[in-house]
Amino acid sequence: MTRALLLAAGIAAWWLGLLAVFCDIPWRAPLRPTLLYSLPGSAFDEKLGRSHSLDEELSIDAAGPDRSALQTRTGERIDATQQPILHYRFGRLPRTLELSFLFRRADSPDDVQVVGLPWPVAGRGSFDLRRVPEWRGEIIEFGLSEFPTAQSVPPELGFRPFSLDVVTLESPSWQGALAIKRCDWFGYWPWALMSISALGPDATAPRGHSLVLMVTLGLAGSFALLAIGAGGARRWLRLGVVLAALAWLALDLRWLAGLAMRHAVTRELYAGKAWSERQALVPDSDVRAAALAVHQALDGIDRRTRVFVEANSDYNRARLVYHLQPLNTGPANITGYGSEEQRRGAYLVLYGTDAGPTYDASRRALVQADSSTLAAEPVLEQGHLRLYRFLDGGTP
Amino acid sequence: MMGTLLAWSLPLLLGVGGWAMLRGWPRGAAAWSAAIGGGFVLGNLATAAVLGVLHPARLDQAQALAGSVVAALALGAWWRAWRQRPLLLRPPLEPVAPGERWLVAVLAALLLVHAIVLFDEVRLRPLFPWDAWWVWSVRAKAWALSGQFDPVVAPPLWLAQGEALLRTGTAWNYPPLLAWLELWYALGAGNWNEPLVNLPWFGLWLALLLGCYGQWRQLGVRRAVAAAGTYALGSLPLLEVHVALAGYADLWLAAALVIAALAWLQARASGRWGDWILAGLGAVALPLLKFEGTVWLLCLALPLLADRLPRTWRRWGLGLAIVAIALVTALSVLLDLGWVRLARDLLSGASGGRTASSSFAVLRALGEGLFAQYNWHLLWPLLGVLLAWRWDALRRAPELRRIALALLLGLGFVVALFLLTPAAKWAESYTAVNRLVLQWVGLAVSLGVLLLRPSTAASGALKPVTLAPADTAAAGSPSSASE
Repeated sequence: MTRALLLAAGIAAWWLGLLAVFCDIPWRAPLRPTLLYSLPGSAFDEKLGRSHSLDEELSIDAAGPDRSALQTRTGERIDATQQPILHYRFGRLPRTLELSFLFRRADSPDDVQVVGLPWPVAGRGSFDLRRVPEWRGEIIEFGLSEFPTAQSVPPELGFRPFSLDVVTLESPSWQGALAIKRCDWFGYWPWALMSISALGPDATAPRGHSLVLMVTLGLAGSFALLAIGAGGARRWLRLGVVLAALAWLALDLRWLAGLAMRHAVTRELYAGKAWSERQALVPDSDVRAAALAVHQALDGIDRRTRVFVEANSDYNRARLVYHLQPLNTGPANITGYGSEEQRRGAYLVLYGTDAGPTYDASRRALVQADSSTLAAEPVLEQGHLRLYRFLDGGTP
Repeated sequence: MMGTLLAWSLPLLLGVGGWAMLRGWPRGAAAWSAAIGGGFVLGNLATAAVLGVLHPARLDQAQALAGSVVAALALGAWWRAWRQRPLLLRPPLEPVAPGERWLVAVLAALLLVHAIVLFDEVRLRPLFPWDAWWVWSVRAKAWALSGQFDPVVAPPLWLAQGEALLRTGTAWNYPPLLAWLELWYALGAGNWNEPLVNLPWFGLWLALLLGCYGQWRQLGVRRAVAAAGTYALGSLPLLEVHVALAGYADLWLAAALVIAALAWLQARASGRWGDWILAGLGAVALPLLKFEGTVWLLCLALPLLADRLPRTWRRWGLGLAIVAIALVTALSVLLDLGWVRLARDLLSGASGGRTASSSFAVLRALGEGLFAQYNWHLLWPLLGVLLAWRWDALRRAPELRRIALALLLGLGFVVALFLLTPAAKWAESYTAVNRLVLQWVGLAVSLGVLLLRPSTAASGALKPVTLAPADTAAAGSPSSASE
């Protein structure tokens, strides 16, 4: 009996120790924070978007022109090392928005530091600013920014009114560490392009130690203690199998909850809409709009006509090519522009202000980086989009 | 609607019919599970191949044309399977252990919850992940929207094209099988409807689980262990991501790889030519899906085929294999095949990679992917424990040693690729390393499950559950059954 109790105590101590290490809990930290600086939402000023104060909260009614909102607090003198634990509470924050924390230091007042934040759990979010190397010295301004989740939410659907209720900066404590882990381990992490390759690194906010690794080490330690301290290997082996199965189940339920949260956003964006509507609701709606403009401009051309495509990033070029189908596209990064004969009558789509050659109207030619020219005439200019038709002539 | 129904049913009919023809008429739930799962995968890949090989220039009649061929093949397979079915259709009942039924029900319910979320996600979401629209869907979309099955060629040929329309793209040299499959479903949908084109990935997830469960059971794994293995496989987060964000080839590779290996185990135990063909079909699909499939084919085929050689011939066999690989490589270089270009670019760094900042950094990235990120739950540490626990059983089971060796070769290749070539960049950025591991994960889970098979532990001899002599005679050939 005593042996079993000792064994149970040993296993419990092992798990508690792991929890402390994986939650970054300083051993001498108090249970509750000793320093706490709390500000109601109404103490923040709107910098982007439209808002109004209601009691102590700041109601954010509309996003700014770039579809984001920003609230800041200036004139502060906060010792970064003393109060590195950030808590924030929102009301009705839509899952289609992503969060960032911004701050300025007294020693570099012109530099704005930005760090992604985890999405709040039940309205409350927590983050350890010690993960940000720039969080040091004296902080003179800080704030929060909300914007449509990059890569997965169509910008035009991202914003819905919400409120910023409270922002708190406090000293390290067990309570704060556990709140941070609650967001990290059990919070909502949106789909990102990286999700298809790795789960964990797909988050925009810096994440802490892995729950999976903690469970693995917890199980390994438990098995070792059982093997050392328990007689009757068969009985304890069975217990080990049950423990491993329960751990797997727990991790799976956690994953399933996360998947369901991601899926809730998908439903929010796409459920109840026909495919014809949904296909327009893509995260790169600006690139798709550009492709539609090209389709309209080139309506009725011979399907064999070549359309060279260049953009300011690999992502935009590839997406533009995809949206431009079924035009006979050629990504210029692999096709080049061919010979004069090959590009005669072909078109060039440029997306992004700094993409591809620049147009010289006086020479009726596109000028490349090496100063050679490609004879062309403009067909369409619309925001970041430029469409040209190649003519005879140009210099090699 | 009718088009979509046909697009789904014809490959399934072909696959299940072909499976039943090659393995024997399914008897019992496990055999049907294996036939439906394996049949879905092989049927879809075969249908895509039929469409691609027929290559009708105009696509308005393509579904009817390819569909007719697929339907005829399916009909033939079902007819032959039906003719060789055993007279005794009900397999002997296997006793159900107390609590087993509940365990299976709970695990099935958990998987059902996963399935509901995944299905709805795929049903609603436009195409999302990068390589999906960059590599495969861009071709299928171009064909589907233009109504023409235009060839996709290298940029210089595209620039030099004459009257006929030629297409190009950044991934023009990738194997086209998956793009053909997407085209098949787009033709069924009647337009370019991304969720309908992506739904087969949900079907693939189901098929992978059904196929593995059925084959494990046919190989003699107990119901509860097979159910637990199925749940473990179906609940792996990264595997589910490849369903939810459908469009990548990795899951198809994983399915083809595990089908080939499990069918080989069946073939080794039963000696049926049909199982050898099923194993061959799974293996042949590998290089047709993705470049690394060629390497996986070698990793799988070498240890499995060496198993059939008498010990004295193995040295000669190894020599012959090396000569054959050298010949194939030389021929590929002469023909400037896509995989040669990819390998050359990869090794020279021309494809944008860079060598590892340090070996430790690569190994750390690998380790994080396997043990610390949220990709696999506890799969890899538990598999390690299982291997240690069942080490003696593994040593006594030559066929499982072959499977373990294939797994080791595959994962060893992944490690070597990232440690020794400029591909290190994609390990350190986590963009490729876990997806390569994903392709082996079905086989890894299978190895773990088969190690728990009672006969593996007892004698090391892996055999399918065989029928009573009378049943075998009725079937006309050795067969397997369970449940």
